[in-house]
Amino acid sequence: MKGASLGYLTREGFRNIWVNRLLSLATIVVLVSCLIIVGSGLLVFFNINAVLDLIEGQNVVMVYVNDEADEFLTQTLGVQLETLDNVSSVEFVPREEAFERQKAEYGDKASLLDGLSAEILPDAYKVTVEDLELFDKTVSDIKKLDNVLQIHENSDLAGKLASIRNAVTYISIGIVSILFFVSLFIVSNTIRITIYNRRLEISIMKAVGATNSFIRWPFIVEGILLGLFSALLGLGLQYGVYSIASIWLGNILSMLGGQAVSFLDYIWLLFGIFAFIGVVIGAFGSIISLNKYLKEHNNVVEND
Amino acid sequence: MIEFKGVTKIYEDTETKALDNLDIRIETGEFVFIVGSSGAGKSTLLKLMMREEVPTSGTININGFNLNTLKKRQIPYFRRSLGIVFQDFRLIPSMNVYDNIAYAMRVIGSRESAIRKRVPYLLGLVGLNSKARSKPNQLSGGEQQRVALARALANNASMIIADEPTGNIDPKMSYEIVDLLNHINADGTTIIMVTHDYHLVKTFNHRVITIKNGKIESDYPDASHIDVEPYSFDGPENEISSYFIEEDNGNLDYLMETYGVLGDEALDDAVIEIPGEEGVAQ
Repeated sequence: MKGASLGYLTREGFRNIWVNRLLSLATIVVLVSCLIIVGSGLLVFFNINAVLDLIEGQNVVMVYVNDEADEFLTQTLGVQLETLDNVSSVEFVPREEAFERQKAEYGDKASLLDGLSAEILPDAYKVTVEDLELFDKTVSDIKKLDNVLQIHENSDLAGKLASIRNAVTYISIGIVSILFFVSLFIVSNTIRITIYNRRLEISIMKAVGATNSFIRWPFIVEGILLGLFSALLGLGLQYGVYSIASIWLGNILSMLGGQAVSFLDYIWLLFGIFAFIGVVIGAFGSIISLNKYLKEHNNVVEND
Repeated sequence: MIEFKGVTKIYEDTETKALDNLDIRIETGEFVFIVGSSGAGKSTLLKLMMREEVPTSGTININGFNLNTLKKRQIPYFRRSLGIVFQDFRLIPSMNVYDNIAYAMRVIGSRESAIRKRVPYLLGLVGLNSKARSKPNQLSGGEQQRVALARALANNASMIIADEPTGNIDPKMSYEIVDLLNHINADGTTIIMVTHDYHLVKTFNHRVITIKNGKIESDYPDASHIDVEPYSFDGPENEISSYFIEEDNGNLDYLMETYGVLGDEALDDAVIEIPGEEGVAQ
């Protein structure tokens, strides 16, 4: 295709949106609806992930230090723990601090601990694990270190959290994929109506010797532009919908100790996803519909 | 040049034999009327010429293209050698007259500078300079058909295929359209015109091919065998006054120079003779 044609056809794509504004509006409405459904699914996924992150962050391994270890050996153990794979942080908890915390937890019954000293408790390291799927291996690695008296861990919870995250991820991908294809189907049918509405134009194009790529290009440009418009509009509407939904969502999440994620934290990611889906659906919707039309009408220049 | 050799067309879905062993040869520069009643096979003939359909048997050669072996991707390039004019004008309603004509050039990737030169010339040729910014729905049927004709000429097609171009317009406008085609033909452009209007055929007196039941019933070099009166518009109020002549003689001048239709002397008194009584002005 010549440069002059490309420029002209791109301008035609813009012009066609305005000329066929009613059908363009219909396409945008369909696409925006699909994007908001996809976006809502994604935001639910982000929120579930944020809750899982919160719970995971609380899931730590307490590593108790052997009483016989002196200060140097205790510090050495701390360094060894920090250098292990899949360990995100290591915090030293001296026995005195643990004793005070224990007393605080006993509250009114703290007097039960009278006569006892911090010496009854070992020093400890609070180790936060990065990837829960590798939890068991990390625990096994810790056990192999010297001067480890005991390990307190909850591998059951870690396993469950990892399973939940996987399930949420797969379900989300599945739902988004299904919605993507449903959107593609609906948009390609809407564009098909647009094409049918412009069959006179297409038949004239064929009569004057337009190649199929020449006929396709304005529709593709139009599809891409409609996709981008829909992405922007969808993002704005999604913000409004989420602002209302996040109040209700926040109430539910607060029971788990979390809060609804901020829309603004994900705005660029959502825009990227919306723009990608909008452009891909718009362009492919156009290509699918037009190819079908061109195939059906083959070389006809006089169709009614 | 158009050459049909033993062309038969059977529509498989209805098993209708639309054309039966047709042999036609039309030389470059000819003006041919194709006549026949509805269902005779005229439309199929045009569809084959435009490579909208392929023959069931026989061979078709047009403008150096063998339509039997023409690949799908070559069809657009073949069609650029044709100018097609339809009965229903087929103008894009959302585009103005200028853009409707320019459209044909844009389709083949012409530069805007070339379009800016060519379109005003074509508008002058068909006498619609003052209507360049009008939308098709603001034009009369005759004017719309002249726009369609200008579009068909936009890419210097060596052949114009006109499918009942006067079917939707009144006799005076019809006369003007065919007269314009006549002028274009004088430059060497081949004209194939399907029509039901025997008065027009008689008036312009060119080769006439009559199709009946998918076969050539007759093929005469002129219309002398047709027993109807040619168009005659008597009286000043009925005088045919082609827009392209009245509106802008400067453009007509250009037309004459370009198409070599008339000499300078003839141009001085460029009034279309009403054919029939004194012959056809060519």
